[in-house]
Amino acid sequence: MQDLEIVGQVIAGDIANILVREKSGKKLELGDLLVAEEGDSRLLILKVYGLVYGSQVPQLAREMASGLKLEGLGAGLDYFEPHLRNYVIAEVKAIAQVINNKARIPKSLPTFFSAIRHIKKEDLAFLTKPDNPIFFGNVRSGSKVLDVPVFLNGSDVFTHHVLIPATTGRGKSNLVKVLLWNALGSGGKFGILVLDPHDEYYGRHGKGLKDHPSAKQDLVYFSTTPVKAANTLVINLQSIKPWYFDGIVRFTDAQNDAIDQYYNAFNDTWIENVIRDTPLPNGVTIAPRTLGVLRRKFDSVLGIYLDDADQLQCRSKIFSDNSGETTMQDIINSLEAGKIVVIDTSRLLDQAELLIGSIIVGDIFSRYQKYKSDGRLNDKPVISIVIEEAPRVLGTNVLESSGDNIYNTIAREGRKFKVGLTAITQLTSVIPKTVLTNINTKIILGNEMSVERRAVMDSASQDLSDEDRTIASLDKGEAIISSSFVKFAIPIQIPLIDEIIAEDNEPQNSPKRRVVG
Amino acid sequence: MLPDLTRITADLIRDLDEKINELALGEPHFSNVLRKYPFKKENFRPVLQERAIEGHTTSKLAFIDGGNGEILGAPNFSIQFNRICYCLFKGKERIQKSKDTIDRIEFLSCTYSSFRNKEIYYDTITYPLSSTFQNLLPSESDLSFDSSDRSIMDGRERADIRRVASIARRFAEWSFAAYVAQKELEKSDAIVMDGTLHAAFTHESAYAKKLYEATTEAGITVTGVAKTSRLFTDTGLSLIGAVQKFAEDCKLAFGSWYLPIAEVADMDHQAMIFVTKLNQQAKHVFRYEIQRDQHNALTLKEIDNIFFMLAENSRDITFAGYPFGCAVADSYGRVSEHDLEYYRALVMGEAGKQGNWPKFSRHIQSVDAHEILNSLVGL
Repeated sequence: MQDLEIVGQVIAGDIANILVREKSGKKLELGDLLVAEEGDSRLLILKVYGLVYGSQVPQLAREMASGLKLEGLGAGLDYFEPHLRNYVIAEVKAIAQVINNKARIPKSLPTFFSAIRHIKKEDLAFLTKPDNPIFFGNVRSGSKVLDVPVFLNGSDVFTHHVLIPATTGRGKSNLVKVLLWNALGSGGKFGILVLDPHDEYYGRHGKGLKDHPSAKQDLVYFSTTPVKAANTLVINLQSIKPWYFDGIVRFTDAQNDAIDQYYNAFNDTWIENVIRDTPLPNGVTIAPRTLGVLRRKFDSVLGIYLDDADQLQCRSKIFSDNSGETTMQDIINSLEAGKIVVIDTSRLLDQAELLIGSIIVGDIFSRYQKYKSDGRLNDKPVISIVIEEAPRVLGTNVLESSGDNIYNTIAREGRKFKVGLTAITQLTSVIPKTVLTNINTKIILGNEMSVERRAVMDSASQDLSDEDRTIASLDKGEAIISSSFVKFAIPIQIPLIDEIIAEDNEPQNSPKRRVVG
Repeated sequence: MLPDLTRITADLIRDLDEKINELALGEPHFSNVLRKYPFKKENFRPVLQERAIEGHTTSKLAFIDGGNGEILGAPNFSIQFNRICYCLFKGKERIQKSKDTIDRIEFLSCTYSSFRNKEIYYDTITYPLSSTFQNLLPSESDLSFDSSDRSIMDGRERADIRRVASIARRFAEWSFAAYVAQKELEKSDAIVMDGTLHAAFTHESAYAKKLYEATTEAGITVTGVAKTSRLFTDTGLSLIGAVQKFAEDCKLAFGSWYLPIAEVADMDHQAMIFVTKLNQQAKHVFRYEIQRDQHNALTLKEIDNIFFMLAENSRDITFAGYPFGCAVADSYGRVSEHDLEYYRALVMGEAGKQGNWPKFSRHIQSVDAHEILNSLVGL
């Protein structure tokens, strides 16, 4: 190791907390990746998770020295050799041991007093590009970005679910855009459904997924107010089965009973007949009050009602009794063809958005279950459902009060059928641990709420118990990938989508650097 | 009935206040000096800034300090670990030592008693921890003392063997200072010893003399800073306290100064003694000595220059007015309990291996009851 490279030296500690004295002027940062060389082809990768002051000068003497300065009595006085006597001690932890370019979980301490340097690109040569690669960002050491792209196997990652926990303004949307951008043009490997409550991914008003070179073939956009070449989001009421409401809309036993009676009697037109108050055959009667409440619920959730001319109307124009017959098929077929389907739900109420998701997800899940039983699943692309504000369907309260829903079912069983969730949330703590532990990849962005950080750390695939301050200090676009598909929690810098779009649309560039395949 | 502590302490403080009479500071009290300098305002000399010193040269200061500690001890033997270090400064900047200069010497010493010529003698054997230190250690023949030698006695009491055991370190400091002067210093540089230049022990003045001769020839000045001083004025006040009071009373126009106190020309103590305040923010003033002959050969500007260099080195904010180099040399030379534990384990292990431990421990037991009592009360 060259003298110039040295940034510190191991001076004490234990396996969980190695103390490194910082070389003066080197300014180590939280999250910095450091290296202790252990001989030929062996090195330990260390991560800084704490920084404290150290001093050879006793506390009382420092207080007095400070007093002299502050009170104007220290003219001409200063610390002699301040770089030797006052310094910073970094608390670090070994996160990987690399032997002959292979990473493994470290089980030993670096040599006592060994010199420490910053990590270099060559040290991370073991981070190779897997099959079905999805680009997440570049390895980050503190706030320094290395020229080391991080790819994970998209098939593994998406089927085993992804959690993106962060508070507002830490780069969630940009991250999702980057993931979707890189999944586009996968050659049909990933079908991703995006329920987009802010209509921000397609790029209606600016740059977005529509600008991807493969968008024409592989991107499908549905909206109630479609732009040119987009699809109108109209769902025929006959597509809606009673069980799609499970866990989304709460019904009483009497209401559920009424729904069953109408579905049995009228099959796919059951909703229309509830709205029209059509009498049930065979003298079966439903209390008028129950039916009245059901109609009000359908009005508030779906926005449907009868107008003065006795015609069925939908306030949001999304649900219809006479159009949109092929919408669900179109969406599901697109997903099955490995396309990205973005559904603009910005004009929908919460429950309507979730219901639409529930309809699509329920159908695709049923199809994939069938493919598995038919032995055809291997030929199908991986499906991922991007769901914003995930606690709306995966929150403890929701699951306890409304029971299971299709999202929860996928969280538990989806991986067997190549269907996964990409859940985005600010409130990880309200998602049950049983669900969180099933989510094998977490892309952790900054979060100032300690309860939320704790929930993420407790369910991470690696031991992140010392990363609390690091996660709190993550700046916009900085993230940590904790996944069962990586050897250690990798700090990354997620590039800005606008830069990627600009770069990939330069005539001489193809987007192959970041895209799959 | 409970004692009235408030009254007792009030009486105590009142009496002490009466006995310390600062109205009569007196003059420095020495029984045997060549010349005493009375307290006079005009004797205070400011520590000049470099621009005020004609022909100023930025010279090096070499600070020498050492420490020793007992590894195992009994009334009839004392095994010690000794360490002597140095550091080099030019003003506030530390100077790297030359590549081939030894930066410290470390040695074990064994002082033991024996009976000969109807008297108890203390002799010391030294064990350098590196062969390169061998030539810097004192001759063992110089480390043989009659226990009734006045230079080592404590009043009328036979000298404690631990006091005698520390003499080897003291002698080695002189030798090491001569070595540092030869390897690292040049004309107009100075050595700053820890403590006074008083070669109090028998044979010590020979080591001091060697240093003085070597440095005088090279134009290097030998000096010493004493952290503590037990000098008095002829009115019974502490000399240091009296000088501080006198300086306050004089309302000096300068914040840092030096004041000549006495010129001593004994065989074992040849020094010009000063008291100096090295920084205006300093709360402490120190006794500072310059080797007498060397002092007398210096011009006033050269003396000013020495004090300027020392003051420049005394601007560390954690102990304003105390030379930083002294603090560094002290920390390097200090022998910690941790050091002693290490060597204690080695020595005791070896004693056990050679089957001598029962014999040694019988003698150790004659002084370790205190330690046992301490351990019983958790000290």
